[in-house]
Amino acid sequence: MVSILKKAIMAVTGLGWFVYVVLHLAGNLLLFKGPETYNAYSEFLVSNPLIIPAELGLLVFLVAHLASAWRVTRENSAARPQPYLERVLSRRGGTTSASGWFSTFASRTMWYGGVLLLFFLILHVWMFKYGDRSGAHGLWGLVVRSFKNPWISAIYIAAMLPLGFHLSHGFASALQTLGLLKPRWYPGVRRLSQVVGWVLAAGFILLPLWALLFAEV
Amino acid sequence: MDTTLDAKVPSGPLERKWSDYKSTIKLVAPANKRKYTLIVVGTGLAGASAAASLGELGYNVLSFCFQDSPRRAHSIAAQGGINAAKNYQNDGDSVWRLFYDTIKGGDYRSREANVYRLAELSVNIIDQCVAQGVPFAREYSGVLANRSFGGAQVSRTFYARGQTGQQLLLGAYGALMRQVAAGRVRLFPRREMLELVVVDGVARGIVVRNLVDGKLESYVADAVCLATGGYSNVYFLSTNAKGCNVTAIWRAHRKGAFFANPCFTQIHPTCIPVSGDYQSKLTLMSESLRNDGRVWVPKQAGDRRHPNQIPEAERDYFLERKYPAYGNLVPRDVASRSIKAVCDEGRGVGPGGRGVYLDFADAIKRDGRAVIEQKYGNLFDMYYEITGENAYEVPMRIYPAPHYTMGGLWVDYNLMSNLPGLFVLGEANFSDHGANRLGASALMQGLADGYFILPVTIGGYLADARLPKLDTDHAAFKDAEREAAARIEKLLAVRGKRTVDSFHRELGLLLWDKCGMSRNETGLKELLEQIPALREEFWRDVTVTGSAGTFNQVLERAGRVADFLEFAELMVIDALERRESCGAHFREEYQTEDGEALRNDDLYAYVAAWEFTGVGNRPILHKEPLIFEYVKPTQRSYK
Amino acid sequence: MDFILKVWRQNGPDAPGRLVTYEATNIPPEASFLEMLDIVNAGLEARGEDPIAFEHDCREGICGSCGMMINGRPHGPGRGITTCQLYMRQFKDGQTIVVEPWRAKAFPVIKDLVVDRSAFDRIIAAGGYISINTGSAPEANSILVPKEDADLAMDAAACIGCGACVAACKNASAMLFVAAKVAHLALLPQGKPERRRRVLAMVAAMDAEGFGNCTNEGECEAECPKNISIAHIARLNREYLRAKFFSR
Repeated sequence: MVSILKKAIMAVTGLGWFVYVVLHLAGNLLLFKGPETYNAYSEFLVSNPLIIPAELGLLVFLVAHLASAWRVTRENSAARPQPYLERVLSRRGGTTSASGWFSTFASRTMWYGGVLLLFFLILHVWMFKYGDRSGAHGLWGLVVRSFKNPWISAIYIAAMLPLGFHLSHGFASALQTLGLLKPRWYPGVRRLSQVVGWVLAAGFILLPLWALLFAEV
Repeated sequence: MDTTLDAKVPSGPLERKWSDYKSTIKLVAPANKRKYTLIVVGTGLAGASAAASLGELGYNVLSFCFQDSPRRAHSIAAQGGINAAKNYQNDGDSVWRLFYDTIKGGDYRSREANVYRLAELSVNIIDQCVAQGVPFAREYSGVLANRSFGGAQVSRTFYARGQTGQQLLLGAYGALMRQVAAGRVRLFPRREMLELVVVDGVARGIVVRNLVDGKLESYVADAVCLATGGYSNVYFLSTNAKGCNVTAIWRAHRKGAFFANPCFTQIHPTCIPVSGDYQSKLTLMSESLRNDGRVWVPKQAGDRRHPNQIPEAERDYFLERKYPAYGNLVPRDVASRSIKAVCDEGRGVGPGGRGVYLDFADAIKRDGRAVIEQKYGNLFDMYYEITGENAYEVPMRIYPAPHYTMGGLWVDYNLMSNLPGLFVLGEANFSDHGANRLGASALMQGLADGYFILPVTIGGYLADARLPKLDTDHAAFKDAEREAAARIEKLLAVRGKRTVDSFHRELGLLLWDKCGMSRNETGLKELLEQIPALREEFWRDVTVTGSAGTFNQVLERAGRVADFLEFAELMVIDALERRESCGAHFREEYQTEDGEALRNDDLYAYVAAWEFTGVGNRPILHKEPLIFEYVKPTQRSYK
Repeated sequence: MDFILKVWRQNGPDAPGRLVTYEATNIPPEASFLEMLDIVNAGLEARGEDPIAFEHDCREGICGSCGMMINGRPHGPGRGITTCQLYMRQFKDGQTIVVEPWRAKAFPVIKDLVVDRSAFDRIIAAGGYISINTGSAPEANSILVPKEDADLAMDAAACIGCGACVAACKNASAMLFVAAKVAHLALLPQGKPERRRRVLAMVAAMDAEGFGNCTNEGECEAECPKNISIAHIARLNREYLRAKFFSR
């Protein structure tokens, strides 16, 4: 498939997931409100007839994102079979591009971070979507009890680091790939991308942290 | 036997010659064009535009260049602009005026009919290039912008920042690649032409060396077009790209093509001065700088003060003083010589006293730094990168450097040399610039030759020629291959001690001293001793590493320098023979009282076309008389 | 000045390569990087050794011939310059300098620091031009081009095809090169009739050469000797998506 098309698919599906992640965080912040609100919200979602197409959509987006990423990553490493013995990136060399873009830890680890997020996603769905909600306080109880286990909390908190990195490059990158940016927006969008990525990551980290330290079941 | 050459200029009034000729010239039927194979060597403005246009017409074209890509030909380095008699500025320009300026600028040593045709076609070139997407400078209204340029009193120069040559070449390169994609042109990059193959007196092919694997390859064609540029690199230090060489045209000359006016070499006034003997080339600063910069030296010889501390009264703005009408905008040869003169008086500035100031202080005061920055920012940056000096605050230092060669293979009105089937275009031919080329005219000539002239005239030749079918097994090809291979073997067999570049550098210095901006009989006669001696030493003591059958850059250079060593002698003979001063050829014996070039129209109003008779042998001089029916040669005056 | 050079030597596309150490001594600080290599090569030639092969021609930053990785950066330290415009005064006396060729699958090594960049020619052949035959052009001023567009087109057209963008990109992507040509022509009214065909064909040709994909890191722009902006890559993406989904 044509390179730009693959990248466009990654951009669109990535932005789709980004929107979902924002909504998901907004919904899950209801955890702080207690079992009634949170369970009602959960009930509203699962009983909604749109949930199946939405979930299918997310799945399709995920597969497309992943498949494109796989191809792009493989092609990219094939494009330079012999690596440089010495390479100084522009930022260290002091010539960051005039547009303000440069290679970052986040941009160089999109594939690895993405794979970690995939494993986390599988764990996450298995634990909460298909977990046992029949105990006290329903889903709220399941979530909070799970987070009371410091190991699980630790995994959840740690998993948000790749999310922060992934989004801090991915958000701006997707907009650039779709050709939506004007040059004068570059610095702003780069910063926005990092803020958005880390705010979301921090938001998600709050949940296990709160459950572990403050919630009472 | 010397003969008088016939340029085959069509009859009729000057303004009608080309259009009448074009409409009566024989044509090759469209369906027959694909049966003809044409070789074009070189992919600069002339070569690329010719190959593309011939491909568009339906010929089968083979395009060769020594670079890795056609886009790298040296036309790309032209900075200033391209002239065209569009008269967009309403300042009285016309085809006639461009013609007149060019012929006068060339000091009446060019062919009227050719120059008129060039001026006439200049307007079509701009149309063509704009349609190709060349991003010429524009006014806010969207129309094309112009500027005035060295030696012109009208604004007729079109430009794309300081990269006009690049943009025009990329346009021609695009057109060429379009034909490559269409299958009409086959591209042969990284090939160096080593021999012209002549069969029964007709040019029928070439032998090239594949620079990657070192193999010799032969190609047959119905006509061979050389667009291989000039030979300024004979001076070693010049503004030309390192790869520029005389080999293709010299090899053709050895096979019988006449070499015309080889001593007409242009020394460009505005280059960055030499700073040391490690230096590999000289960098040109666009002549457009002279539009706003003022050239001066201290009045006192040996004044070593910082330029900004020399008061106005102690400065000599010598161009403005000597040539009040044109001031800093006098033609290149005049400017270069004046600069040399003040340096010879000991008033030069910078290391070794070989330099003069080009000062922008007044222009910055008048227009503001922003305006100057907008016009010349990239040039000031370039100057800073090379010298480490900030020209907004300290005047630039400039000194002349070899830049362009008006001489080249002799061609008739059809751009065909005396060898039937051998066409020569662009800087490689001698035709349009006489003894001195005006600024922004080289690009014009290259493109006129390639886009508009050759595609027409070559048809006339092919329609009439009866060319037998040939292949590369023909004895002439085998002989040429053997010759080329033998020369390579000979170079590799010397196994001496001196590097190729050391010979080249020595040759360059000799020529620069005695056959450069000014020449005299004594110096030239000395050169006729020194050059053969150097050549002899070269063949005895040069070291060429590596082998023939590999990628071998030393071997490439060695072959080119070997040819320069033969060619240089011809250049000197020509300079010696021309006992007059004209344009860039300044013989010290022939000057007016105030040191201007003194032409001798009675004896030297001719093109000197030399015939090869063997290395070290006296070449035979053929003359093409220059007859001026429409302009009256006058003493050039820029006062 | 003296330097220790570690230069990649490789005899052919399939030959193994290695770094070889040379001493560059008595180099004037005003010498360009290529002139420094000339001096080293003159020494090698005089000793009958094979000099370092490197590509160069105009030596004034416009032909795009020269280009090498110098201490891990395409065209060496500095911004907006080619290797021939790099001067030795930029380095410290006694410094070790590592020199490697551009590395990309699409740019196989020919010898030492010389690589084959003909992939760029093939991309241009696919559509990097306006299809107009000689002689069929309208009067130049009948095509009005807003100055802003002409300037922007010129910014893009300044590309010299040196390949530093590919060399700099961690994915060896040629997007900046392709974007520069697509943007140059798409910005001008003359280029509009073919813009759809052009972008589709050029991107397809780019992919066929084995360049990597763009991951929007801007390293190409940072090392581009002509400072061509990645805003042109955004334009290329737009042009492509428009051609693919929104035209006709």
